[in-house]
Amino acid sequence: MRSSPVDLEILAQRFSAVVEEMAENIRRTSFSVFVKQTADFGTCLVTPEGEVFAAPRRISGNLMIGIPARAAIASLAPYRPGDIGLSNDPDATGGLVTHLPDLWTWAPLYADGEVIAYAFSFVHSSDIGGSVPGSIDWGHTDIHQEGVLVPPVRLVDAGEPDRGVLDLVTRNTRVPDQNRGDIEAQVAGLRTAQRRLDEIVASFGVRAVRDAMADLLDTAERRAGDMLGDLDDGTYRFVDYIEGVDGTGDDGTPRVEVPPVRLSLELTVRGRTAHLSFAGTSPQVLEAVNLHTGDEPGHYMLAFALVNWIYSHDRGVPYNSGLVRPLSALLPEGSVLNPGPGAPCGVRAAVFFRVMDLVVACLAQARPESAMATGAGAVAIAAISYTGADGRPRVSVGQPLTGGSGGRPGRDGLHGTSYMGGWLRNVPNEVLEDEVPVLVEEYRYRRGSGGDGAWRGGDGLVVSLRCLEDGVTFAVRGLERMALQPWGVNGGEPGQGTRATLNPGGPGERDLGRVGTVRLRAGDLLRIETPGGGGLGDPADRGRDAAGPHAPAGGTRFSLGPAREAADDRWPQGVQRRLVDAVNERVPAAGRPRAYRDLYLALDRAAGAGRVTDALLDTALAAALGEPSGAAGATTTGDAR
Amino acid sequence: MTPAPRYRLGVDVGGTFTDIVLADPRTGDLRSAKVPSDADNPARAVVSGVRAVLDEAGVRPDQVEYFSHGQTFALNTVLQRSGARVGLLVTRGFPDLLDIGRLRLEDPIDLFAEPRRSPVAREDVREVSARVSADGREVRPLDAAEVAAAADDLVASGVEAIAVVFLHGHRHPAHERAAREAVLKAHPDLPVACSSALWPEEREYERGIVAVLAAHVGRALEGYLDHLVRELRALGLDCPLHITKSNGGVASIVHEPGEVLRAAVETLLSGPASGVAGAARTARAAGTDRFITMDMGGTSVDCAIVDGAVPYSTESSLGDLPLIIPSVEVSSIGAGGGSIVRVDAAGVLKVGPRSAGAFPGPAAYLRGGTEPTLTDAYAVCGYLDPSDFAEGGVPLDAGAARRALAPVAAALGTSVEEAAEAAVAVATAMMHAQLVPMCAQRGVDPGGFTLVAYGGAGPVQAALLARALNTAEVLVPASPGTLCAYGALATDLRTDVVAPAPRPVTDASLVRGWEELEARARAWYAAQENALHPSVHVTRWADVQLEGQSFTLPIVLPDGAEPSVGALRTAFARAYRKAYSVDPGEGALDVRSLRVGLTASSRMAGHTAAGTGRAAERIPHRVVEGGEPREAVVLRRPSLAPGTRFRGPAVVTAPDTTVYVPSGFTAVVDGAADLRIRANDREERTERA
Repeated sequence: MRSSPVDLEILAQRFSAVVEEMAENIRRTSFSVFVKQTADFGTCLVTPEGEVFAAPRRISGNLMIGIPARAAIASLAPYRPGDIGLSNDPDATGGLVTHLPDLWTWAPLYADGEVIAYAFSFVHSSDIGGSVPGSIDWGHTDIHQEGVLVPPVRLVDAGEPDRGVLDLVTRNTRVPDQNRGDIEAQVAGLRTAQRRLDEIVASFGVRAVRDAMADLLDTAERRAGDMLGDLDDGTYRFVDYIEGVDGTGDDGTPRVEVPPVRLSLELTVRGRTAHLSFAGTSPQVLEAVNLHTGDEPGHYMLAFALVNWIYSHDRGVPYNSGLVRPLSALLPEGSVLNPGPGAPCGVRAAVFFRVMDLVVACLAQARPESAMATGAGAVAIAAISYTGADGRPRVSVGQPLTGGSGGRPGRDGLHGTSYMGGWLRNVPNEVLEDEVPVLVEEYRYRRGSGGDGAWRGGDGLVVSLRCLEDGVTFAVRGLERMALQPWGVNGGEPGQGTRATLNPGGPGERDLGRVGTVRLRAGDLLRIETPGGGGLGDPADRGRDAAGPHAPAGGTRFSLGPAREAADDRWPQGVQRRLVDAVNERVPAAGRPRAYRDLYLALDRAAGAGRVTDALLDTALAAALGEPSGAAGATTTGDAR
Repeated sequence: MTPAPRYRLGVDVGGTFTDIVLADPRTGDLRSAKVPSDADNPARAVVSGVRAVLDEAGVRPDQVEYFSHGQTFALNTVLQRSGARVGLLVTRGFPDLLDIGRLRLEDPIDLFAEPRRSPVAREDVREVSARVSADGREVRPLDAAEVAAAADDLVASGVEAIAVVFLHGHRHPAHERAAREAVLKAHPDLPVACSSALWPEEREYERGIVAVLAAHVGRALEGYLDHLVRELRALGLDCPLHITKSNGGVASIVHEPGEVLRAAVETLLSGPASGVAGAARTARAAGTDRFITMDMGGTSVDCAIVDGAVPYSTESSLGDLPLIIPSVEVSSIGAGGGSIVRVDAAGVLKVGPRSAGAFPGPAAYLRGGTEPTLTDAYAVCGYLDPSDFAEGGVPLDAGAARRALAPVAAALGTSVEEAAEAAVAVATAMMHAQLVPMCAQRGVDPGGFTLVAYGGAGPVQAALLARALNTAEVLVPASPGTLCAYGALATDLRTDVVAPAPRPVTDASLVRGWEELEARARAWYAAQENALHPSVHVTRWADVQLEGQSFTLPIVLPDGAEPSVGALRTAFARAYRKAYSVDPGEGALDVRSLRVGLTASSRMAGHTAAGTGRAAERIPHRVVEGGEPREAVVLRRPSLAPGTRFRGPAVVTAPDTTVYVPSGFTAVVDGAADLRIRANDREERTERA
């Protein structure tokens, strides 16, 4: 280490004070409901090489470890003191931005006339323009529907604010004043960072500051390496999905309308490193769930589960991008995890959450004695809107639809919330009922929905709303795990999946699937049940010493639930993988989303009630793409039953 | 013959010590005492301490005109969950109200987070079918038989008190009242706490917690206070008796059952609030109204940031429970004199988060502690003086401190002195790192502020923290060890009341709403023993947001302004610009609650120090600075006359605390015997000015 152990700790504290102060400035002065209610904003300090060396821990929704900052930094280089950059462009920032409502700003920080670091911050704006209020919709098929795109631009040029840029950006949104306020709050935060860094440099000198930055990253890297080194070397695999949309054909039989998004992880632990291969992941999709990662192996939305895992086991670890240095990754180009330019991305959080499940599942195999089951795997935000007789529109953000967490070694899962969206606050039901004409008939735990196990999954929530007047619209995005249940581990049962029902038990009872938007009439009852977490360990071991952490005989086992088992039976994993590979290999990038969907739907229909076989796949591929050039793709894998 | 002089008594019962301050309100002269607290019978320590102070001062009990008491009994009862087993009656469909809370996890990235611990066991919850809608329409009537059956059932299973929380009870309390009557009819002696009666504010979870805490603590607090009152009367005190509240004020000790429940929830955070009240009096008397209080004990530093007015929060917490009753806003920093010093796995020097607490405490206290603490580091650095520490009540063995720190020094490869100083520097950096965002939250820069240091360790650490924060000055009050007790006797009578905002909000409805609240506050004042608190001041405020927003701002109606929608809008626009830096525009106002705060202040002279008439002795001493031993001096605080000025490095010892003045700082004793410490460059600027 370059620094003394004392200077290192003191400077770590001082850096932390800078990012926490920036964060509090933003929290206090920004307008956005996302900042106030969900803490969806962040701040950090970055080295000139683009690594985060300080990030706040008190801001719960803060996802800063592993942000790819290099592209944004390079985009406006060279800098002058007082410059501030702004962008919300995923492509131009190399995956720093992952969806358009996140307005990122950054500034070079100078000491002795040289740039020694950069300060970054973002705020999730309530609206950034585009086709729908709030700018986020699962059905967007083109990034231009998602709002105004701001390529990296100097918002402040050597201390001179460019009012034109600010006007241009804010004028293209539905809440210009709020956005102006949020951006100004960020500018103030970035300026504070320079002032505080000046104080630190004055007390400790540039050399000590540079040394501490490097040492903090090295320390985090070393401790992450230590933890990875404790895992058994090996390769661990898991596949999970964002669910598609099932409908019914003209003849009334069920059929797939939107295919599920396949997410595949092969985690290879070797020594003190981990390689995450996402080969086999769906090509990018037409829906707005694509996750722009900029091909960055330690991207914050890929590494979050691993970072959490390290932090939870070693609370004293420096919280910086050194933690993701031991990671390498294969992110197939043009896949949903590394999509091409212009891929719609508003609801990318769904993929982010499912990647966490994949990582947790692979870790469960890498260290079976500390395996965890997965939680609800989804966070849905509901909006209830209503236009009264007075013509005044009202919108209320309903209860966050989070579910239970999975069973943990030595502990049951938490009820009603999990590490995905655990930062969300609910709305007092009294306020909700005062804003929109609904009666909340139930807001309670969904008893028994957590998977049974030695350590049970936490229960989900039940939210029942009785509509009191006609003309209430309920819109929800982010519901997942309707069919594919949160899985259990090592004998633990899966948790119950999401269920959204209109008029349960009544004459007009209807399953609403992942809902989207539903219009309610006076008297209607809408009930949403969120998933319970998966259970961990054999229920028979509950309360016994045997329930303590121990490696299960025969390796880690997952209980995926009947729907997933049936799906795997009908669509064998080998066939799924071949379909993904074939599209990637044989279709030009621009055509893959459509080709993958068309092929998937054609195969699903061709199989009817039967199984999707290699032979069917070969036929479909030949019909759609012609005979493959080179080696034949149809190496049957014994799934000819 | 002139009447015998009259005196006032303030008492603060803490975990370790019970402090007593006796004041002469005409001269401002103070006398104080500290006696060990008695956990089994707190009143015993109070009585013996009071008797000792009176005897020493030659004051008869009947000369005491006022007694005010701060206690941690209620808070400890909640933290230990040792009060009544509470049953909850709640609206059907919400059996998990207290468990779900506001949903948010304290640390959402901790995979091993513990679940929230509901103050009512799941099996002690009964759902009640009565229901009203937001506009007060009765969806289902209250069924008294259903409620009575639920109460019977709960009592039979061992429940000792009942809390009632129904949706919209704050605005439509009839069902809660009827439920209470139904319970009392069958169980007349059972404490029954209604959310609507105690704190009628929107937000069912937080309001419900108020009711549950009242039910949990009420009867126990009543027993405690009854006993104390009997003992004090037996001692001969015949004056009005008061109790300190979380809002920094006091209230008379009253017997009526509803008032006991109210007192139970209004006094929970009174300890730190009294400290801030005492610090605020001291700071204002010293001419500053922008200061940060710094109360440093064994496990934490409690801070309040006072930018003009003492800050109030309606979002306080007790452990993991929220408290929405207005309380002096005090934030805790997790480092104290007992924080453990260690070198972590990566070889980095850390202070805390573990603390040796009061027991075993620092190694230097010779109570069996072997792990090095921050106090041990102070001792090794010479920032404490073993020959004059806590009046000899606690030993301070620098040798034991050195032995405890030796392994840390070995791990760092430094001398023990260097290791000790490094630990202090790390602690300072931690406090700085936590205090800076607190200041940012409130939009203040600590640069222009004074640090008011008290508590056992505050004055040792304060100048070092001031240097990191670049604050203007450190103020160490004359009696920093008994500031809470002083605050208790010097503070105002104060009450806060709340009501849902009227619908619709018009000039007339605002006038009426605030009038009703003011009438309630004045009725409260009339029921107090208020002879010594004649000057009443009423503040009207409201929780306001723009329609469609979900975060209210507290809006104070300026004194003298006529209540009107226009006046509220003007005040809102000002507050809005301050909070968000943008104009609120023409959007409709959404007023959620109206509030009234009533304060009635007492008249008391500020105390002035008497000069001792001789120059203070400067005893040679050594401290560690910059890794090296340096010549310093020790001064005995009681011998310091007003006007005494000295430069650091210096250590000032006193019966209740030790003050460290580092190199680069100058200390001056002011006319009130407060110690004012400034960095020399600031000092020189001031002198030139």
